[in-house]
Amino acid sequence: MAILLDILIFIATLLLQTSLLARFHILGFTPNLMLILVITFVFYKKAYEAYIFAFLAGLVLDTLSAGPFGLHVIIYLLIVFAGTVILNEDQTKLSKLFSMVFATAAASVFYMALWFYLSYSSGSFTASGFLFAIGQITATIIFFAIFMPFLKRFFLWQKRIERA
Amino acid sequence: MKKISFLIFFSILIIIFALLFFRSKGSFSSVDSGITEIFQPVGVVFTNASGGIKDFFTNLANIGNLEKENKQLRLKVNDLESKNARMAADIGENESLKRALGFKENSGFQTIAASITFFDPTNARESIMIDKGTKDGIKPGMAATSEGFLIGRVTQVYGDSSQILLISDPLSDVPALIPDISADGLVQGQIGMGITMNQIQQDANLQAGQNVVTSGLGGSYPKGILIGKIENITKKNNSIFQSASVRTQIDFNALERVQVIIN
Repeated sequence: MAILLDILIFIATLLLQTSLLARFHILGFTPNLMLILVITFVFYKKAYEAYIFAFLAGLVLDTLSAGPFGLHVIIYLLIVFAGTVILNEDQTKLSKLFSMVFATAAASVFYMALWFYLSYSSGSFTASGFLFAIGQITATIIFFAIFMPFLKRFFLWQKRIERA
Repeated sequence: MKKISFLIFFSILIIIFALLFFRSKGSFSSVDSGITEIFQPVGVVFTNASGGIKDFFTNLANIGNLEKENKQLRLKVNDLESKNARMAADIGENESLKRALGFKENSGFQTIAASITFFDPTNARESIMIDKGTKDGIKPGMAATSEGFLIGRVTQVYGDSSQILLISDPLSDVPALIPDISADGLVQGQIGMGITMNQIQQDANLQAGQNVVTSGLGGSYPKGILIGKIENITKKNNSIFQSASVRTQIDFNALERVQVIIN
């Protein structure tokens, strides 16, 4: 049941990210919902579940994205790794400040890596590209702050179902 | 527990690098193809539905401008109809001249229509997945258009799907030409900033509104496909080249159907 719910939420997030949000930009920026979901898995799921989810979600996104291939997988796994090193497994009480700092760091790593790759490949490091990456990070953090409480309730409800 | 975490992490990292290695050798296309085929049916439905939702909200926002736009369009149609009539006469003369010279007829492009299944999830890369692949005759390198405007080029092809890199992607380069002044350049995407035409000769007489088309140089795109119009010009006296932003009629976020040029 829990795995089914995880698959459903993954598919819903994937479709939102690649269909709906791609058409509706907020001031030209799109929050990274899958990244938010991976971070939530780090906080509220067991380590192996978070690793598996990060790997599979990253693989699917890398296939659908123009690249670089491996970016999503590696960054998502780094996030899970950092989370498992810093946190005790299965945190249910997490300070809001820590979760915001962690999410900001995760989004920054992702978008800075992407910006660096694109700039290096195209041969020009532009200020507009850097600012765009900052905008993307900000959009992701704002959405994280808005949706984190709902995702937390969802995962805690999932745990109650598993125990029942 | 943390030691186990280290072990898991590094094991997965090794698996990933192995995946990247084998993918670079082309051994992974069946996995990529499988992934796209699994999600494609739902992706098509959601992407089309999201297009409808976007249209609904766009129309709501534009209600005030509809009458003004309608008037402008009516004037434009009248102007085009009169030009059309003059051109019809020119076409007749052109045909008879061609026959006289024994000219070979150029056929138009042969295209395949495709629906969009997914947009790029990162927003920094500009690419789309479509629901046609090798089974439909799509090959890497084929150009793609929408409403007569160039939108990109096929980069990856699977059995039933393909990936198109849009011209607004930062790693997209399109050899282009401004026919009015015979000036060559390169149309490139900028991260989050649209499209610019670069490497235009300094002495080219650029003006806003000039058409930009594919030049066909290098063979990567067929010649003569409309890209957009020159908008803002950037010219520095101490620079070898000048550049200009290019405005295209296509809203890449509102794409629903594309045509892939197969010859």
